[in-house]
Amino acid sequence: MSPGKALLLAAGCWLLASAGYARINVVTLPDRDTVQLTIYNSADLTMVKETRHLTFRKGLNKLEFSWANTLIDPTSVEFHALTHADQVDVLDVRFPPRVTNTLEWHINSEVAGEIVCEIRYFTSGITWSADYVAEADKTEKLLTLAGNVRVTNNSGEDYENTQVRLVVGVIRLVEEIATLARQRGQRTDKDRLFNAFKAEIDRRGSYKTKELGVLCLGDEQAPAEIIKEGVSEYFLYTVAGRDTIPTGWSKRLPSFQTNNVPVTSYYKFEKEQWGDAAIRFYKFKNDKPSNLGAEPLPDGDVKAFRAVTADKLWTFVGATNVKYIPIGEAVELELGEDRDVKVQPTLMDWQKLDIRFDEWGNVAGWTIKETWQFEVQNSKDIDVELDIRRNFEGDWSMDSATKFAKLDAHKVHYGLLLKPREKQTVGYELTTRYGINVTK
Amino acid sequence: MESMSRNNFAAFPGFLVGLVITILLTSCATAPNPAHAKPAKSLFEFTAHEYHFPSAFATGTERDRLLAEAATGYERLLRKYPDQDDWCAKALRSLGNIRAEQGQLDVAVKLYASVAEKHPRQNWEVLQAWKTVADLLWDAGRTDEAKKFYQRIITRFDKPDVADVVKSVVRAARWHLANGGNANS
Repeated sequence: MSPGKALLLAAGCWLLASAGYARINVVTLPDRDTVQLTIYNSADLTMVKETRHLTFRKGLNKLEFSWANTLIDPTSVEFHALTHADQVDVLDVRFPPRVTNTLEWHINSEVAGEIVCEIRYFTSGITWSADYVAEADKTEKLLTLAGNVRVTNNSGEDYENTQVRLVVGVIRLVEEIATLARQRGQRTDKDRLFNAFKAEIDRRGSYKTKELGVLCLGDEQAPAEIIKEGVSEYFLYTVAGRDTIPTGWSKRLPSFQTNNVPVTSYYKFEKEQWGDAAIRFYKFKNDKPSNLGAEPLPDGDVKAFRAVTADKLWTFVGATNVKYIPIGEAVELELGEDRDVKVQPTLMDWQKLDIRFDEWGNVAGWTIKETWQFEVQNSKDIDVELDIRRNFEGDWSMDSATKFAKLDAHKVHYGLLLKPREKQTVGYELTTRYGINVTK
Repeated sequence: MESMSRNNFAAFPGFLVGLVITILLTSCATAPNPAHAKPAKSLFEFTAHEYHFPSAFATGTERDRLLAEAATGYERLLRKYPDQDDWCAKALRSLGNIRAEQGQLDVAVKLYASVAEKHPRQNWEVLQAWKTVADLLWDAGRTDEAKKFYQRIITRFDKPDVADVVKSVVRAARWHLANGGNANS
């Protein structure tokens, strides 16, 4: 617990209630037993669930909760006894003037002894982001994809030995929660916000089973693994294992690693989009045949590497950012320029032909004929797929010795396969008609 | 009658001007100035962190000094940024806490009560202020005064969908109203 940011203040003496109640027993508080953070990124909202083994005395007990110097929303704080629930009642909540930003539960217990209690509340200031590392094999046919989650805590409170759960996906309910969260200044909405969030997260039996499974792992040394659960329209990822995330710190937690993901590596050349560079892409699908598809993948940064030697010396291929990838969807990673693949377009000839005049002697129509040649070079030691795209305007027609496909009214595409160290030349003749020469 | 009419006529423009000024002052006082939000927040947090929070852990003259400094800070906020509804509500309630700690219960009661009067939209601050003042009065044996605040809590906050903490406060308020005769039992 960080100094000055006490969540629960401990006391251990007998107090005499000033009025109303008889003697009030102040509970001695141990550290938190477990803490669970469920982070809604899109709403800057995190639900915190703490459990503690508290020693109650029979009768009235007093428990303080302070949110000073933190981003905890005090209106969302709840106390529940998990054991002896029917024998433990919150009788009163007070706001003692001697300490600011503190509430004091007055709890009546019918039993003396240890009781497991849960305290839960909302806080803001905790965010998470995903990132991926894609390692392609030497042939760029298979990929090892590893996902990580970075949790950043700027909430003002340290969370020790914490289980982290992440809500992925943008759905109507989440949007509603986000809207409510943005209205946090208006406290009346907090009740709706908290109830909506709580109900959505807690309403599934499967979640509890999974949660118990995680809690029973007991192996703190095991690497954290993220459990994914379908929750109606979005997914809940539970990071197995526990970690301490102090305020002001970020922690990067391993999410998953999948080997043998089939990948297509290819290059695109389109001057209007990327200038004179051939751009490398990796494409894979988030589905079962690709050894993925168990859950949608949250948006995040991707760094791609490729093995260049048998003993797995890696070379950096490129970095990009991917959007949220639903199950079954293909993802195309744009990894930037690769100087080992070159495309050199050259205008070999240009002619203005078939100039026609109107009755007053003005130019009324003409035709331009361009001869283009593309030198394509693969300097790599593996096969390369290359997609060359050319865009034309107006009334145009094209002749080429190399097979091409028309993608739409203004775009054609050449699909080339280059062997290692191979050079190819592609050429075409473009005829464009203007004025009264236009035939379409 | 003539004199009276003349007096009324003469008084009318003055009344009108006064009304206009009142409307202008009222609108100036309530219209939030976005430029004030950040300094008001900073002033509140500085006062709370530097003086008010530490006063809870200090004793003797040091505690008195910290409470006085905190009160000065909150009063300054109320003077400088009256348009900042949320920060003023917080400052006003905090000032009530300080006066209560200084033993000035009657002053504290007025400050707590004014939170709802001046900042009725700040539900959480209103709830805390009413609950604190009700408990203080109850503990001081002024149960009739306390009951008025407990009743206000029930009237305003006893709704089906309120948060757990609000439900507990409302339940306790009911208990106090029902057990008025047993205040010191």
